[in-house]
Amino acid sequence: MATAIRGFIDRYNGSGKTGAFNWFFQRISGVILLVLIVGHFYIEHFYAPGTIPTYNVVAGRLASLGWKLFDLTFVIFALWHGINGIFEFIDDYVHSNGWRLFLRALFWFVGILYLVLALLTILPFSVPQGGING
Amino acid sequence: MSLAVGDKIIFKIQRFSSDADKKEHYEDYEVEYRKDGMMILDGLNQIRWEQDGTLSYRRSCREGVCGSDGMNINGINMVSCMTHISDLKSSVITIRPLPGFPIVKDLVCDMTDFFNKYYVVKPYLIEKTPPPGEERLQSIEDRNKLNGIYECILCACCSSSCPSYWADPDYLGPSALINAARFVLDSRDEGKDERLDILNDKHGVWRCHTIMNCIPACPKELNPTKAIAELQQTIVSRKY
Repeated sequence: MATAIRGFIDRYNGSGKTGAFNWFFQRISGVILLVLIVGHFYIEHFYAPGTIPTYNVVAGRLASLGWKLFDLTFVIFALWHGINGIFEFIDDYVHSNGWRLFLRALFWFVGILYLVLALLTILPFSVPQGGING
Repeated sequence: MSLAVGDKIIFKIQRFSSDADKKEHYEDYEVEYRKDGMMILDGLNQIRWEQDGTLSYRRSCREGVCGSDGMNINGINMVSCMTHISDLKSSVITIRPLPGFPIVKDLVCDMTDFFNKYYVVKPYLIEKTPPPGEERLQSIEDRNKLNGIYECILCACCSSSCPSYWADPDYLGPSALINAARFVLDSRDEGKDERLDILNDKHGVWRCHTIMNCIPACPKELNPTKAIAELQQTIVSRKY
């Protein structure tokens, strides 16, 4: 029953016990992602017409703090949105506490792993002096 | 295909008895189209009264008020007493019990879980203050807010058509939730907070993923998805 006492695992099942925050922030992050994607698309294709997005062009952009922040925001919201969506699937279809714990732990791990990889890729990135050859 | 009086139609009915059968099977019955406006329920009655007295199904008022005869007809949930045979435009009509409920016999399902979920949302007016006069009055505008919600006949067509309801055995389902909305949106009700606390649960309003199967399933043309969205909105704006 919906009002049944929640178990140990359910109490630690994410940012909100009830799912209200997850539902609400899924919508907000969706809107934010839409804005970021449209912005990204515009910059890649229309901002500087004629520029081919080669490694050098992207590397030059990524060297600036603004772009680092833009890409990090993108990664954080995309990861949260995607993994929260998977948590919704788990809530829908997985009802055994053991499997829920395993799958949630797995996707927490996947999320943190990708976040760390993104941080390692974006933050220390810099263009060597004199640009990149080749 | 248009039907004329005297035509024969095949009713392909899923049969199962929890006492005798291991698996469901289909049986075909020939039904005579005896008058224009004949309903599926008239066809079922014809079979039960004239051909096979063992066929089981629920029916009571035969005019879309009691909500007893929800069933899956040609793949869509509907109540048999409100469905014209001629509207289905097919010579073979496949009838199954409502999906997602345990079958007791033939078209009769065990509705215990469905009604328990209905009782969970406290489907009655909660009063905390004595009535101001002889009765609790409501403005015409406030009363109009309940249109499209209060007409539910608890036939279970919506909940039984909902994939989230099939997936999560604890999900309250569109029927219980539209009935909760009927009281949450009622200006006279004083139990809004305790009711919303029940609905604000992993197995409450948040399991609705706006699949919207419940809308075409409803024989009263109500919109449970919209009612659930209003509840979600109310909970979110109360909290954030």
